[in-house]
Amino acid sequence: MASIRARQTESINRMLDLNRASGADYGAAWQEPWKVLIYDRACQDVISPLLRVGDLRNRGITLHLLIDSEREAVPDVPAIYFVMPTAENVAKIGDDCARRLYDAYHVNFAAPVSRELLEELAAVTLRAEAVSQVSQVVDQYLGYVSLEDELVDLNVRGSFRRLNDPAASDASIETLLDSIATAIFSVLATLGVVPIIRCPRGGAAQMVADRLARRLRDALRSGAPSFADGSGSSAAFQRPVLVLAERSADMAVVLQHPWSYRALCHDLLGMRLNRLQCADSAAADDIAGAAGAPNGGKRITHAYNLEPSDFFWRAQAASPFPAVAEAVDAAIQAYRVQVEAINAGNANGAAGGAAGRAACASGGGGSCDDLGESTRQLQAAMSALPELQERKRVIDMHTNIATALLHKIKMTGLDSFVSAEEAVLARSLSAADRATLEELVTTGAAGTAEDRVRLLSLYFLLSSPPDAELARLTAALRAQGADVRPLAYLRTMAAFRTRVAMAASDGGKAKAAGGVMNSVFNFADKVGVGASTRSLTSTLAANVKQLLPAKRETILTRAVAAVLEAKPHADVDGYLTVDPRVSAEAHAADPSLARRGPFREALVFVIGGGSYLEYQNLLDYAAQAQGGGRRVLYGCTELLTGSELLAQLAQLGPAT
Amino acid sequence: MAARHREVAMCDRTGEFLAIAEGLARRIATRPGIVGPPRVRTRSDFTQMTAQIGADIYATTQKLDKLAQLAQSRSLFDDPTVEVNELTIIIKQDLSSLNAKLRDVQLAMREYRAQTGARGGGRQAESHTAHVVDALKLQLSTAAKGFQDVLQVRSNNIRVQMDRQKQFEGAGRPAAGAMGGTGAQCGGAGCGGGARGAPAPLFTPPRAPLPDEPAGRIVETVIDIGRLGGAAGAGGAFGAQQAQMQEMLPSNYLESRALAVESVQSTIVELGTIFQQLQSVVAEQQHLVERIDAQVDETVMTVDSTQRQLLRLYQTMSGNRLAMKMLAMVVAFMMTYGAFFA
Repeated sequence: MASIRARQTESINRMLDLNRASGADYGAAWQEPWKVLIYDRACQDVISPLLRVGDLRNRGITLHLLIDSEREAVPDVPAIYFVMPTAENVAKIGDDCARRLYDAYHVNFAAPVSRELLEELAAVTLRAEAVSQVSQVVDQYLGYVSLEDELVDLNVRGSFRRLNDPAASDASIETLLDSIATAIFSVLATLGVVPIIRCPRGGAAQMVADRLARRLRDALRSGAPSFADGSGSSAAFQRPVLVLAERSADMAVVLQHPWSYRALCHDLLGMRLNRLQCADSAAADDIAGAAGAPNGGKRITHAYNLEPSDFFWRAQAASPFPAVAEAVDAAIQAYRVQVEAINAGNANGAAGGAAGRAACASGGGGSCDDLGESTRQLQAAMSALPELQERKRVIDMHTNIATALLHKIKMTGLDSFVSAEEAVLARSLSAADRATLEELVTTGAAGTAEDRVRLLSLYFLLSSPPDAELARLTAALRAQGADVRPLAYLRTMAAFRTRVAMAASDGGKAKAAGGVMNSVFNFADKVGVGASTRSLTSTLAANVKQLLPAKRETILTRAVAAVLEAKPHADVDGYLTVDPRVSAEAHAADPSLARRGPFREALVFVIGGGSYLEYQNLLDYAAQAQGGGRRVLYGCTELLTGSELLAQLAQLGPAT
Repeated sequence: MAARHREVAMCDRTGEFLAIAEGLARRIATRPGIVGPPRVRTRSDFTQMTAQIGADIYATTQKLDKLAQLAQSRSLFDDPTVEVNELTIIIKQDLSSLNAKLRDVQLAMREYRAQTGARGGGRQAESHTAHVVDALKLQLSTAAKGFQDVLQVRSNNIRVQMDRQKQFEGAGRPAAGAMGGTGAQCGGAGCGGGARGAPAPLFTPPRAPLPDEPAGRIVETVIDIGRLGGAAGAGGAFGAQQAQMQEMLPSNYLESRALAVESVQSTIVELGTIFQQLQSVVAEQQHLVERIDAQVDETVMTVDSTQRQLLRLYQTMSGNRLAMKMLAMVVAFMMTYGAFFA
């Protein structure tokens, strides 16, 4: 099965070719070779990680503009609209028609458009007398962001808060659930699979599952071509399973401080849509030193794209930070060796070439071949150059990112939090660990108030400390001016959950795989930042280096593993099973109709936000699963950093 | 992509849209025929020209593919020299005429911009045209680069053939000499006249398959003839004829090859000039690896700086306003003074 990224790119490319059949004559594309692409913010997020400006140009897109930017008339050119089906966008399209901005209008909605909006579109274009210029109105199933081959962001913001807000109206929750179901349906339509759905009963997940099953049944009944796999074909035996999970089942994994490269980039540097911005510390230092800070001390920020095609990113995204620092140094070394080899080769070639030229001129026959030889070497070097340049660019980028991360880690004392949380996660808190934890929370020496709230939340969620201790620590945090509303919300949530389901509490206690971390971290001996740009490993304090968190499976990974391998599991056994290929009535009559596994592929969607840590954990499981060949696709309504989740929790907490 | 053909997920609702529009139009019943057949599009010269050039470049690329195949095939039975030369000339003409057309397009572009300016268009129409021309230039330079590569391959092949030919010459001559005067005399006397009378077939390597190596490459076959000639040299009349063929073959063959190399090299040089004209395009390819949201960041920055400028302007303006106020007060004072006291 092709990856979701490849599939989505294929679909977008087809849209850019004005939805012509893929087998159509290429020459036909010359009828309308140049096009203007217009998209809204949400669709910009969809395209950004997949296609670069150059790719768009290759498809004949000469201009790409946001729908709410200032746009001018470009005569003679068809416009491709790629927008979400909203009333504002439809009104904008009507305006454009009225202003006669473009020659023809190809309207592509990223999600199925409702009848009312379609009528609205007809009305506005009719008013503009431009109906005949609307060449196409197409529903595309592309309203999600595929960030990596196994990672999908459903692009639904603030979902946890919106789902759990007691003040939210039923209608707004309905809309939210519908948009989540639409996005998941779009992923399935793009992949062309009809999975068997498993989800916990009685929550948002089940409501999404119901909506999804209804849509899938409708699509199958209407014979949608994208789900063309007949149930009798061999593909039916390898149907994937769709696991819908809820964020509230495991809050800790998002609040926890990460220590692997990709998750750190997300948490500390705010990576969004595979792109992050960080200060170019080396350049900033150099400029400040050389020119006396002409920018008034402003640091130069660089935007970096972290694509799955990046060799270093692919290899190191999951590695703990110290290993990444080592890998950066190793990559620099390897690069230097490569450059030197080429330089040496060229020097030899040049010398040989000079000798050959002399011999050639003096009439020696044989040495003329040397000239050709040296030319060939030079040509080889020239052709190797772009590749080397690209390598250098990638290494430079990661050096800068890693340096920025190191800088942040040192500023916030992140590793002390990571090690303290490690002890909490391992569920083997010694007295010394408790003391460190209390010190971290109460003294406020390291980290921000947010970091401390996250640590305490984690402690509360996993170790369920006595109320008195928790109250004391919370009070200390409040005294520091920290926002403790998230903690209050977590407490009410936990109380509610214990009342509702006592059974689920002990089902999946973590089995600590690794030893207890040595949590004594001394940050008195800080290393100079200026030197850190040169060699990362040398600046990493020796005790930071030993911090390699133990691998343990998250709650979600254990549930997914149980579903995939059809193993008994306290939570999963109670899961609802829905097979959209079996009609709802037949299902109601005999629930055992749905197959319960084992499966080879799982599509996992977390409703209420996910994290890179959880994603990585699933990937690790899929790579090591017994029997091999398991594939997992991880999707979530949005990728949350710890602080983002805290912000949502704070809004839910009591307004004190 | 999966091996089987897969429908891309989408749902065309144009029909539904048109039906709704039709219904609405009938209900309003203002002007019939709004939802009529699509209007006939009148297109500007610029659009037509660029579309034509694009199609031409595509056609040239297809020819180029064919040439690349020909240049690589060196089969014995079907020497493609003639075809290669023809195609080379055609493609060369195509490329230079396309290059000329691109220059014309720049003129049409100015016209188009003037026209859009009249219709309220501006910067965006301009960058649209610039991107169109860039895209065409890029396609043309890619095609030219491909052409250059093919020619390079071709000239290398010919050179290799010539080298082998030289070696064969060096080995073949003494053998012919050792045969004594018979061969040479015979040639001079006209027993080889048939061969000399029809030199054309000799330009191209022998078409008759040799028994031991029917599918061998031309170069190797030529050497085989040499060897055959040398070995059979003592064998009498047949050998003598072969020896003569050797004598004729290298000189003519070499000449034609040298010509071929020359023409190929001159074509490469001509291509160089096209490249120079297109160079600017290649230089500005850098921004094409940018993402579409990168522009937004830039826009935000530009907006920020614009705001700062405006703010500064406002401050100077308000400074001026103070001065203006004072001036107005002075004038007012003077007027009242003039009216009442003077």
